[in-house]
Amino acid sequence: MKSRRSFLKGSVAAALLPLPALAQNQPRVLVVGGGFAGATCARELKRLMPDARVMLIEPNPTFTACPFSNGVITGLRELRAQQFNYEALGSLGIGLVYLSANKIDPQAKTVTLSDGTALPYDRLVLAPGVDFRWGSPAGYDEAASARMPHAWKAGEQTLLLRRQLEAMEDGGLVAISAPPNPMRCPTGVYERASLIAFYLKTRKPRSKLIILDAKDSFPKQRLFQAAWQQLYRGLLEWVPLSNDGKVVSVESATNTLVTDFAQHAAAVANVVPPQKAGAIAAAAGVADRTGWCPIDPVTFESPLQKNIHVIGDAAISGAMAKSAFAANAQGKACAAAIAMLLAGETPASGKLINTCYSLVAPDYGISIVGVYQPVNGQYVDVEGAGGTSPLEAPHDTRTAEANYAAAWFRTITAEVFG
Amino acid sequence: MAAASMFRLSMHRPLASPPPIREANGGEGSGVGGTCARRMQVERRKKNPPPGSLRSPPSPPFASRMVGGIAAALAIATACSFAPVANAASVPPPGAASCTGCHASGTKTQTDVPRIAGRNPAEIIAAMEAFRSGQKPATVMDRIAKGFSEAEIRAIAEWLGSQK
Repeated sequence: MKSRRSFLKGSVAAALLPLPALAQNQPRVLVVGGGFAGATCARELKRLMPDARVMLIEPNPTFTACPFSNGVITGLRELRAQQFNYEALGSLGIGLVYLSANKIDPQAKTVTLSDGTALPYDRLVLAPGVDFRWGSPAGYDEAASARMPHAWKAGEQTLLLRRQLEAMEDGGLVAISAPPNPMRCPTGVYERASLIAFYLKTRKPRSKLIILDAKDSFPKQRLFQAAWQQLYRGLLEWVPLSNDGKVVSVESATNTLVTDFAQHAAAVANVVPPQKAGAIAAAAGVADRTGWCPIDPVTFESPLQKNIHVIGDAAISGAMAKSAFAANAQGKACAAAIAMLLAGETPASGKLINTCYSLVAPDYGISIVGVYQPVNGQYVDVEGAGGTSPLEAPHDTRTAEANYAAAWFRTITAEVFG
Repeated sequence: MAAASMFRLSMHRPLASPPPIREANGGEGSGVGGTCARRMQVERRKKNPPPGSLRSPPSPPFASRMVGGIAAALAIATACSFAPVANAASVPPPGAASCTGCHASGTKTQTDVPRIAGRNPAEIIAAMEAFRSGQKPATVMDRIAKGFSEAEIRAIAEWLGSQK
């Protein structure tokens, strides 16, 4: 049985064969990471520069989307509704490489794949998403996540948490550990808690849910808390940092979350660990001491490495949240900047929008919106714009926002993968 | 020689897993996709088309494109000037690229959110002004419209209007 490695060696050998005339002088842009940011960017690059050679490097041929995966955890939808592939991108002429990028040489401008092949680039886009800081809380490593799921990268972990909730007896304690910022989807923990509370209320009403939080505040907080009062009083409890909310260690053998002054033995423990940019960012030298990637907000180019752009959750994009909507908007803006740069033009300073919906119940949606522009090298909120859904609103408004949330998911996934 | 051995290797690939590298580009066999070797096979077949075959002329062979890059790398190849952006008008003005996150650019998505690509710019401008002033009821558009100036709204509306 021949390995992939020898297969690719073969293709390099073939490079030495005489070949027909090549399309000279066409830019070569590699995109690492096929999530909302990377797949969007690859598509937009190809749309703006049909003759450019655009390749998407992503080890997993199936993409599993995180937004709406809280619905999978709580039995409202199936995992397959979250899953997409890259066939449409391939048919647009984007090269698909189902391997990991292991090494980047910014001087030679090459990306080395997991099988040893080195691919050259003129411009490189990194969209690696997040990695977990394993070992934080103490004792929370990859092995522990098999017992206490994070479910913060959608897929098998999502299903594991779902099965644990389904198997739990009525009267059990569900505990969620929320990490400090910056994190992917900063409202996702509270949506998850809400939908789990909905599940418990309707299926296992004697149970309780507790959020142990390493933060004292979170986006849409007043809206969430008002809805919790209304819908889940006595069932859902949020414990902020200042009230001993921070989980400092876990004991996976006993499913226990330990804070400074308390131990919470849970029937189901969901630990969302602290995060940093995906590993390839550090390997490329574009992550700073925070573990995240500074960028020029106009071009998304790294100030640390020329010709490498970083988009999506891995980037430090100021006031913009790490969301799929933001990743999609950044992917398009970055592609436009790269197209301008490759044409020898100066990219114009842009404005970006972010819209994040959360469900506090299946028919109860709330949103937060921001409009952003670069000021002094960082995205900041445009004054007077943005904000959350109104605190007081008729139920029709909440239902409408729940419907718009679902429409948003269909629209964005169709734009990126359809 | 190398090509022949590659072909053999590709035949050994498990059917279930997709090819690790695939450079698709319109034209022939887009669904087939395929590895270098499979493409070469396709190209080889094309040289001797079956009688009565009416295929359109092949796009630049995948193998040459894929391999071309590697050859270029082996040879130094820091290219300098590139063909300009095909269509400068296709670069969206500030803010416009974000719209299609919610407002479907295609017609196939089932959504209550109105499609704005291809809409008369005057209608978009009027709606944005009404959102901004609070005259038009909204869930999120009032909060978004306030982030844009009249000139920005006009530019966005005209760009959206020009989209198919």
